[in-house]
Amino acid sequence: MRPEASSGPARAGWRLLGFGLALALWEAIGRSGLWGDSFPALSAIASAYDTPARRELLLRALGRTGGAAALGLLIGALVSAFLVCAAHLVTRLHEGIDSLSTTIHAIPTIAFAPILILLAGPDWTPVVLSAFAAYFPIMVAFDSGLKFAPRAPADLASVFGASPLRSFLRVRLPAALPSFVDGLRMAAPGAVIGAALGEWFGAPRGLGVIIISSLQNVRIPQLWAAALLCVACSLSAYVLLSVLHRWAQRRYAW
Amino acid sequence: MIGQPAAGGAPASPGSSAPLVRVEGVGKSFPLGRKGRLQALADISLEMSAGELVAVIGPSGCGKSTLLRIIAGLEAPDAGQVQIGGRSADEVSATHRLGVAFQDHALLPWLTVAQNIALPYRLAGRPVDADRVARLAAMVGLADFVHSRPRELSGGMRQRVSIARAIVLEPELLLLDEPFGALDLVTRRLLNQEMQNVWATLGTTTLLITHSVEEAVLLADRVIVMAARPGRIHGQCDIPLPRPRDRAVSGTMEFLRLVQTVTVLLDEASAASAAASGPGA
Repeated sequence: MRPEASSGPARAGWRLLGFGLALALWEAIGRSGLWGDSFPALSAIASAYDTPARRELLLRALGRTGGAAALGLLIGALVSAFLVCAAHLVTRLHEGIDSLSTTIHAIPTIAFAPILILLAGPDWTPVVLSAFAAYFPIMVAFDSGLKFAPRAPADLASVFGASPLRSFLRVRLPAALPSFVDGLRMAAPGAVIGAALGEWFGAPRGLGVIIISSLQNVRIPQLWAAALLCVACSLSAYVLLSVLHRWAQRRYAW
Repeated sequence: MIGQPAAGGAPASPGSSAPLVRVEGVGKSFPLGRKGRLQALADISLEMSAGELVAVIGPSGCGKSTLLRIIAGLEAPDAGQVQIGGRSADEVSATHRLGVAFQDHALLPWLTVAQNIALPYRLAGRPVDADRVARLAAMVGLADFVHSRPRELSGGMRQRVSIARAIVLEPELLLLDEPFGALDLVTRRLLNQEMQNVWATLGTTTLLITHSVEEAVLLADRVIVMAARPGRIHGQCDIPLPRPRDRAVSGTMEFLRLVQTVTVLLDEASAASAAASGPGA
């Protein structure tokens, strides 16, 4: 027998209960010292926010990292959109763009980040690394949206005598918009991690800087506080883009 | 009245002058896994006069939709050729003189009814004739829904939008691929009647693919019956019923006789198809 689907509030209640239990478990493990000093209790991590100066430091760093991630996501999205549109408008380019993008994505970030510091400077390295982390998932999702779109719209454009460009702009591109936004949603957490990682390599401010300095100074609760802010930033972006994706799906999907 | 064309013969409207559509010896096959190829169509020839409405009927899988896609220029035939007014389908669609309505209506969900009807103007890069769009919306009974989006419409309403969109550029040839196939009987009858009114107003040469014998006889000047394995023309039946044809026509002896005639042809085509796909076929 299939279990009955629970209602919205009931589902939210179960989710909240599960989240609360996970936090309680974290607190218990931290307090017991089961996993050592590197896994502090949540109450200890909260102490990293207990003075206005610390709070301001962390929130300013969050703004910095969030800003770099947002800019990186935007650049990654624009680059992906340009490459995918070019690949679908000039089909001979498709395979080349696909291979090149996959190869670039396969290069370990850690390998070229130090070089980026020299090329882009410490202020722009987080943005560039964030864009690097973001472009590939957006590209894959957008490309699939265009490649595996239903045949009917393209047929329609063809019978009505549309040029390839008009067919692309009027019919295929809007139909692939939900896939593009889906790619943005998937790329958002990666963009935040990319920005934080970029800050490791000599950026003046940001959560990545706090994480690395906390690590070097063995300020474990502060390290966790900064890491949790990264998680919160990623999840917020994911949730916001999920809302946008639902809207795009309702309006543009076949 | 009833024809059993010889192989490669071209069923044509009696007394017609130069045909608008000429399909000559068209064949088409598709890859079928490791087994080789499936012959979807073999040696199809037919002609359509200007202003004629021809219905194509046949068992499932006989290649009706493939034939329509070839005439529309969406598939290239392996053999033979299609000419519309002496030009290829690609040349005709490049001048925006083909109209098409698919069974699944293919309306763009992000556009309103008026924008969907006007889509061929946009695709052709022409300025939208808003008056014509409004007139067509009214003609298909959707004057009050021009600002609605497809998801807000019933299946029948969506299909009406699809038909209005197909005729907005006054096509030389209108191709209808089972446009009423997914609708309930009541809506289907209503749309059949509306289609007759539209067709009487415009007189566009039309190829209608359908599964319904009654619909074919009610709407068409001529019904072509196809058999399967491979898809081929089995026979044809002229429909000399006077126009306009309202629902009362469907109760006349002549209508019932024509339905019976087409049904017999269809049964023969189905039997021939079954024999062709049987053991040793």
